[in-house]
Amino acid sequence: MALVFIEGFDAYGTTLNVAPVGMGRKWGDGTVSSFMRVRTGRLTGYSVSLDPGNAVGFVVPATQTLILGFGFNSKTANLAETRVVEFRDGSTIGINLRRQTTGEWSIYLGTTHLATTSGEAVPYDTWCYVELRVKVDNSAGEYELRVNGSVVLSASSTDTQGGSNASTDTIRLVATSASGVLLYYDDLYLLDETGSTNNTFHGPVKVETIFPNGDSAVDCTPSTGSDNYALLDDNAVNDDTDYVTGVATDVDLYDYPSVDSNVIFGLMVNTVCRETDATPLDIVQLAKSGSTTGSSTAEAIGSTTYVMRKAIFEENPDTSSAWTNSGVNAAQFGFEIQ
Amino acid sequence: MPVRATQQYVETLGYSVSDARVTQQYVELLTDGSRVGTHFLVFSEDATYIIERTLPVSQTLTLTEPVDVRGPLYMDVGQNLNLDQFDTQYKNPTHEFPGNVLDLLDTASIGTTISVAQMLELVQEGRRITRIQNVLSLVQSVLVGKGGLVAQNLELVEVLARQGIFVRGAAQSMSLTQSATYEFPDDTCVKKRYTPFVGAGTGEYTPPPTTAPTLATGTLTLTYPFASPSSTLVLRNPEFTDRDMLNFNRINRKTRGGTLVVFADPNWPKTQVLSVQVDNLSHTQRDALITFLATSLGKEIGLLDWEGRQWRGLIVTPNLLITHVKRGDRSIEFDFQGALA
Repeated sequence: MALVFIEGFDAYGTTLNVAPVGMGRKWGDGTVSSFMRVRTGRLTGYSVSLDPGNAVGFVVPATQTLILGFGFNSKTANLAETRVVEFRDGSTIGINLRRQTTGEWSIYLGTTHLATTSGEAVPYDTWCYVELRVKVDNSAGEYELRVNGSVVLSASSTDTQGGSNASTDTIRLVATSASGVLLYYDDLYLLDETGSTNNTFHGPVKVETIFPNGDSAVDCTPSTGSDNYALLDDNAVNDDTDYVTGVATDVDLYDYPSVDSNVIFGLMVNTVCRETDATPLDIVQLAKSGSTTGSSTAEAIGSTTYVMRKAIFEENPDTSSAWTNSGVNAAQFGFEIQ
Repeated sequence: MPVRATQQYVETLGYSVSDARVTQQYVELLTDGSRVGTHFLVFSEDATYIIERTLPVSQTLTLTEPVDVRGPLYMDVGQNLNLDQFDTQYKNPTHEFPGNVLDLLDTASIGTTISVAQMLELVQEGRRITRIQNVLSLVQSVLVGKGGLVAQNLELVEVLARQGIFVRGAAQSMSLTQSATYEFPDDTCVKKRYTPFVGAGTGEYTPPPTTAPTLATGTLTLTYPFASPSSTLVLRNPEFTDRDMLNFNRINRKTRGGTLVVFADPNWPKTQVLSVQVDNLSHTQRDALITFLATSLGKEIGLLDWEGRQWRGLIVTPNLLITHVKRGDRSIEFDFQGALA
């Protein structure tokens, strides 16, 4: 795997200034509360903001080297140094990025200052695209910070290990600062350096989110009406208000609207689902292109409350090469119950 | 003893077949932010007039095609707007004002750039009897009737706008070197000696030599013969009144009308004469000079001047006057004609 995580912050509701609905199902670490709010997006769609003293993260397989990219906007002038993102080993904070009151960037290992930029300040209320690569190691560690595609800080052969393991297993967006500071995040990606694609910095990118707009081939039963897709395209998610129900071997494939994007590095299919009783069921994310249907690894639903199950498709399964605009537009996405 | 029963219930161990409920699904795409954009504007305007004589003919076509792309994009943006306008008139020998106005506004804006290409091609034709065609990027021509009014308007606005401020890192390297050289007098005597101190440095400045230069003796040395001299006479430095004369041959003729005509040829010989005066000679040097003149009279000698230059030539004033100024002070003056060896 090279592309690990994609987050456009576009599927958690369209009402501004309210808590993002369902975000905690995708971001399992930290608390999603009213201190996080849906905001206008960096380029299109929506973003989320963090109030001071809040954090939200997601857990990834322990990996030594990760590259995190995200759109960032310090919406208000900082009154104090602001922590922006943390690479964690469990509960131990490793390399973390902070924004100074001047708009300059600092790299810390835990609470130990490592470096601060000079002349790379980004003013508040200005979107920028931040990318941070961290290789965790006690002595051969590396980090590289890029802002809007330009390298502003880097180091190698240094100590970047905060915990007992030479790896990162949690990424956290944090906002530890004086009262009144709002940090906006959008268009986030995380990748490791494995594989032949998506293994290095992408520069400023964006995440485009699409919802189903038609039934292609469906087996599940709609809770109301006759269109399955219409019960899954809610933004924000409405849980048991409307849904489709399926049993093992049921497959639903949906049509999706055309996308504007020209160069597509990969996509992630996200499905919010639950079991209705004790029988364990698995779900498989599907991406059908041409006559080929790509399947993710089966993942247990494992809960009678709604959870999010997701899968990355870096390549078009029909061509075994990168997705193209026309490839995505002609594809169907869905799921299979197992 | 009777048994009292106050509660009874049955518990079964088993399960019911579960369903899976799916309430939301969406796809997120990670992209570079560029967009597939298509913007076609096809516009056609035809005007056919069967008109009475003397009526003006006017056809105005105004077309605006804006394409705005905003955002941190990194794709080439191309916009082509081709517009053809034809104004054809047949057999209208008396019309006075065939109007043919073509306004074209072609604007391309982009938030950030890798490259922006904007092409504007305009072809306009005006016909009368025989076809006249102009094909040029920006050419407008109007062919009108004999004696009629002529009006020709060519309006073109082409805007290339760039909007957006993006911070980019910039690196500039400048090599700066510095070196210092100074004398280091450690005592009074050292101050009088040539002792330059050459410090460390990487600059391109060439430091002075650490050894003292040889000071010139400032003598005038006469040798005879020039090749393999057997007689050498060393005199004092000449006085400051020495002269170096270059004589160029030319012929001056004045015509009967009084016009001065000067003839010269670069191949004609040029002579160079050093005229020197040496004072404060002792009687020994005087005698040696007389002997040297007698020996080398009319023959080629060598002269090493006070600037270290070696000359080759003749003393052309052997009958030089030796003036006894006072005791131990004799002065001579002679001319040497020659060339640098």
